[in-house]
Amino acid sequence: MVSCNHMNETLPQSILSNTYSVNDAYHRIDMLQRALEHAFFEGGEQRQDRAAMVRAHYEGSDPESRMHAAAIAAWGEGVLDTVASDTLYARIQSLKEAVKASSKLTLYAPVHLTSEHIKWIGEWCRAELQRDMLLDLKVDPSAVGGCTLVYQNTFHDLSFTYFARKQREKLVQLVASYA
Amino acid sequence: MLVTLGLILGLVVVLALQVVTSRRVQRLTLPIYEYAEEKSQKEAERIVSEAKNTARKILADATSAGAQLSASQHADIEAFAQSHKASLESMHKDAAHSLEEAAETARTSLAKIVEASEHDLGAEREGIQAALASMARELSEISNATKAKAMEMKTTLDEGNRGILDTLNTVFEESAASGKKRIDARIDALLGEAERDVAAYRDVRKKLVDERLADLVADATKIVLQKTLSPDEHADLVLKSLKEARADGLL
Repeated sequence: MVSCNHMNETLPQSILSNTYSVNDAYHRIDMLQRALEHAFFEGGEQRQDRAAMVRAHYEGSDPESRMHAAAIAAWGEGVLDTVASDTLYARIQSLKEAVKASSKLTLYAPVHLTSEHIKWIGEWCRAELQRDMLLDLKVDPSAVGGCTLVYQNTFHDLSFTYFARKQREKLVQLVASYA
Repeated sequence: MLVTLGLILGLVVVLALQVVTSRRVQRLTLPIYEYAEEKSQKEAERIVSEAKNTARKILADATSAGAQLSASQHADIEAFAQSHKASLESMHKDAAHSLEEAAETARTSLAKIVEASEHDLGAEREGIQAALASMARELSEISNATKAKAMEMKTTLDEGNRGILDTLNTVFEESAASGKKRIDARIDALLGEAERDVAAYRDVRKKLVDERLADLVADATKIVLQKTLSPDEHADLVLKSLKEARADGLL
């Protein structure tokens, strides 16, 4: 999807450095909002080190939440310190708007990909296709053997069907040899 | 006595002759000859009647004379009888002769009439026969001419029919041969078209199958891969597909 962020705030590089998918971006922003709400409005411990405060907030959570908390903490002061109690929701909203406005590649994978898989694919896409793009990941079991994607308003079937059609002549010869 | 017997015998003979003659005349009689028969019959009857009368008279005389006469007149009676006998015999002979003459006359007349009628009939018959023969000859000639003409016509018709049949046979054979050729050619053309259609259809289907073969293999493989690949292998295939698409210029 073509990026339309020339009038809006772009995602900080600190967020793009460890966030490759739209789902992870929204999920981590929501986790940041909950941690700051707890600290600002629910009597939670307020620390100067906002990163430590976020990690501490999710310390007892599941490993995936702790992993996301670590990623949020790595966003640094440029993101975490710019949020105050009276600007929390405005800041959160602007971050979400930035995610919405960023360039995307809609990718249909046959299974649910892990964060590590997403990182592999995200890094390749930003290196080969477009810098600072986010992956809009969806699950489509029919895309087995590869994936299907929408890029620049064009659908591409890169599943096993694509590769089979590329090798059609060899397959026909193979079938003919058995006939 | 003898005279009486003679008279009776004569009467019998005369009667017999009369019967015979009448019967003969009746057999040969034609209606127009009844007069001759009647005439002779009347003649005979007259003679017989005269003879009867004479005999009756003589018999009466002899009887009366005999009753009156004595033995002494026996000779006279005998002489009288002898003379009458001679007369009777003469009369008998005359009667017989007359009868014979009458019969002869009747026979002659009848014969003449019959002869004449036969002659006429013969002539008529000959004329009729001649006419019939002529008619038969003419009919025969006509029949022969008709037969000849019929034979001629039959010969002509047969020749004509043979010619027509020969022509028809020739035409039919030629038509059958040409028709068979056309049919064979048409069948060959249709078979050729059918074979070409079948070959074209086979090629189209084969091409269609070949074109869809990749999709068929892919669909079959997907079912297998979904159940057998790990998430890491799936992710690896995703990355490989992106790289290959990039290399192909799709992305």
